[in-house]
Amino acid sequence: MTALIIVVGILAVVGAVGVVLSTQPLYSALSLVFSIGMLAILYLILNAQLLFAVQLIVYAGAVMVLFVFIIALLNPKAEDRPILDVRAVVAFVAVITITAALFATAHNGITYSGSNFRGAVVGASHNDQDPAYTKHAFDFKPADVNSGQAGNVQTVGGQLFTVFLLPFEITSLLLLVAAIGAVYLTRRVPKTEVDT
Amino acid sequence: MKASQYLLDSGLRVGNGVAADPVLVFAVKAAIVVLGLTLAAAFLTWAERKVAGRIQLRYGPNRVGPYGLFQPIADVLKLLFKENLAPATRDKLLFLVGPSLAVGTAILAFAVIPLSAVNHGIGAGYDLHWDISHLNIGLLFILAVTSLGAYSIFLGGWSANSKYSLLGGLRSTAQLISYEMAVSFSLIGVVILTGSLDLEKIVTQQNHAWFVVMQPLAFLLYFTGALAETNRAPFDLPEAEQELVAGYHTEYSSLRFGLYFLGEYVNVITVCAIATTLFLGGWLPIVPFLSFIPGVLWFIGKVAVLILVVMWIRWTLPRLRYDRLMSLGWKVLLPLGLLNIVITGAVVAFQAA
Amino acid sequence: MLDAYIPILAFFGICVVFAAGVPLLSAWLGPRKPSPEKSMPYESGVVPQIGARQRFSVSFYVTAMLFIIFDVESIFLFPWATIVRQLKIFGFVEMVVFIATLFIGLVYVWRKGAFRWE
Repeated sequence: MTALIIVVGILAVVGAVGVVLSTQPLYSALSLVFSIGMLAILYLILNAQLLFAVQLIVYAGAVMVLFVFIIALLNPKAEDRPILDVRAVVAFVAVITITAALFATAHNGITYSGSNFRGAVVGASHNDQDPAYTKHAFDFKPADVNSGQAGNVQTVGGQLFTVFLLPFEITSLLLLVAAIGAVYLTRRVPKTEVDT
Repeated sequence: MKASQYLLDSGLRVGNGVAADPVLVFAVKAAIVVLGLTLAAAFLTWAERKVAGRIQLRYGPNRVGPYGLFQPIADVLKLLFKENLAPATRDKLLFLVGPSLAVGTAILAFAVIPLSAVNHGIGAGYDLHWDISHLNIGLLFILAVTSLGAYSIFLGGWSANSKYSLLGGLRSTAQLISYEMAVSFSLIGVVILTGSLDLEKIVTQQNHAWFVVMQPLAFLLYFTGALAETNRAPFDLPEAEQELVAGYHTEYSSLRFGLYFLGEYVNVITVCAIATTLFLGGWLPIVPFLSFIPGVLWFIGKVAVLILVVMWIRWTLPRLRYDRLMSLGWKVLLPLGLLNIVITGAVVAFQAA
Repeated sequence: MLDAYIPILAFFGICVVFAAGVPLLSAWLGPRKPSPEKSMPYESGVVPQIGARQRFSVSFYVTAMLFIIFDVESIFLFPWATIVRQLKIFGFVEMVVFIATLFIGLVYVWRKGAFRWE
């Protein structure tokens, strides 16, 4: 299992490097699709089946289709290969620092538990004994959270629609704003007022 | 325990009973699915031409073999020995990837569709599932794979660097993503009724009544959306020959063209199989006393009837105009899908309360 | 549970081999006699003057953008649909609020003519 994680992780990084190094914008976007696919497999290895499907449907199947559309729409010319100058060195150092910080974080474990950040084992916050997760009144217990049979679609749903109800509803507003923004950005000179 | 250690170990702890088949069983299943789908798709081209012929009061292919049955074999052999023509200005890699992706995603989506009921306890407590693999999120898996299929048409159209191909590819991708949503929304009604994304469970819960009875609107929405997703008439705008020659596969020849064709027919089989699984009771017999007929035959029979309807529609209805096509998806199918979800959700929620 | 994905992975490999092998077979069997005419993009017999990749209608972009929004909505609906029975009326009401918000968005973009193709 560890070997699988390492292989898939390396492939994901290869895809990400491809995004940066491709001179053709379309190839950059497709490298990103590949990288997203590898991340989906990583989610699957961690048994996040819903996230696996969401990653493929939303990111690879929808967001990247938009990226690819825009690339075809604008038809940009091939870029020059990145050259090594001061900016590249600064960016390189920054990337190394952030990566090191992420590794340190993953190693020590930091999770957010509703009131404060604290060091803890990732995943322990889903414990029923954690007051942050039990103080809510709706008392939702999917029948087979621990049996492993239900997949974790029900588990995620149970959390999402009870504990995280407010963020979920705010998401709908966010999507509404996105829809309005998309229409505003691509508005045309109005010929007729409304379309019926 | 350290977080990093948790991340690396958790994959091992999720195992809950062995779900994978022995290698030999898997190999047999995989061979049956790949070869079966390919052969079925090839003979669907024959069936399509026969149906078209009958509808237009002609015979259809009748020279090669009895009833022209060997026509697809002759066609494949001919394509196999043709030259691969391609525009010099194409994008070489993506031009190759396009057709392969079309077939690959079409076949992969079929992997989770159960063809018959589970045979429990064959051999040492081994359960025979009639699919490549039995996933809890089977329905989402199908949606994920088919959403990747959109790339095949876009890449094929874009990479050829030909105006007809590009326009066909763009039109088709916009159409695919518009109707993909209509399809997702229509499936949610069934998920509300079953509370599961597991295709085997969805079929077994139709024991008393097929979901087409409880979800007639969803079935219509799914079927319409599925026709559009497979680029079939009356939604075959991407390849509207009067305006776009052959759409996204204008520049393809030889078996690369054949692959797009194969992909389209495998897709038709797959969407009809999904419709059968979700709405028409999958492998379940129409009436209980006919249950001596194996489930597989029921399944194949229902899929065949649906495919016949798909062909019938193609040779009966005229093609939609592109703006009407997009209007139908966004202004009719999408709101109706939402309405269906709200009604179904209300009934189920109030029954449970 | 993860075991169930091992056959999927193997089947994915088989699909890749099949889908990549067939065109290789035809490339190997078919003749190869290239000529400048053959390797020109097809334009009904007219010699192409400019490349195909011109800018095209912004409507495609709007469609893709709106597709993401409603795709995300459908992704939220799937986990909800699996547990409507447990969430009962409370779950139904929260989803009606969610759908209603997005339906306002749909009506808005509709009235603004985002689905109008010219």
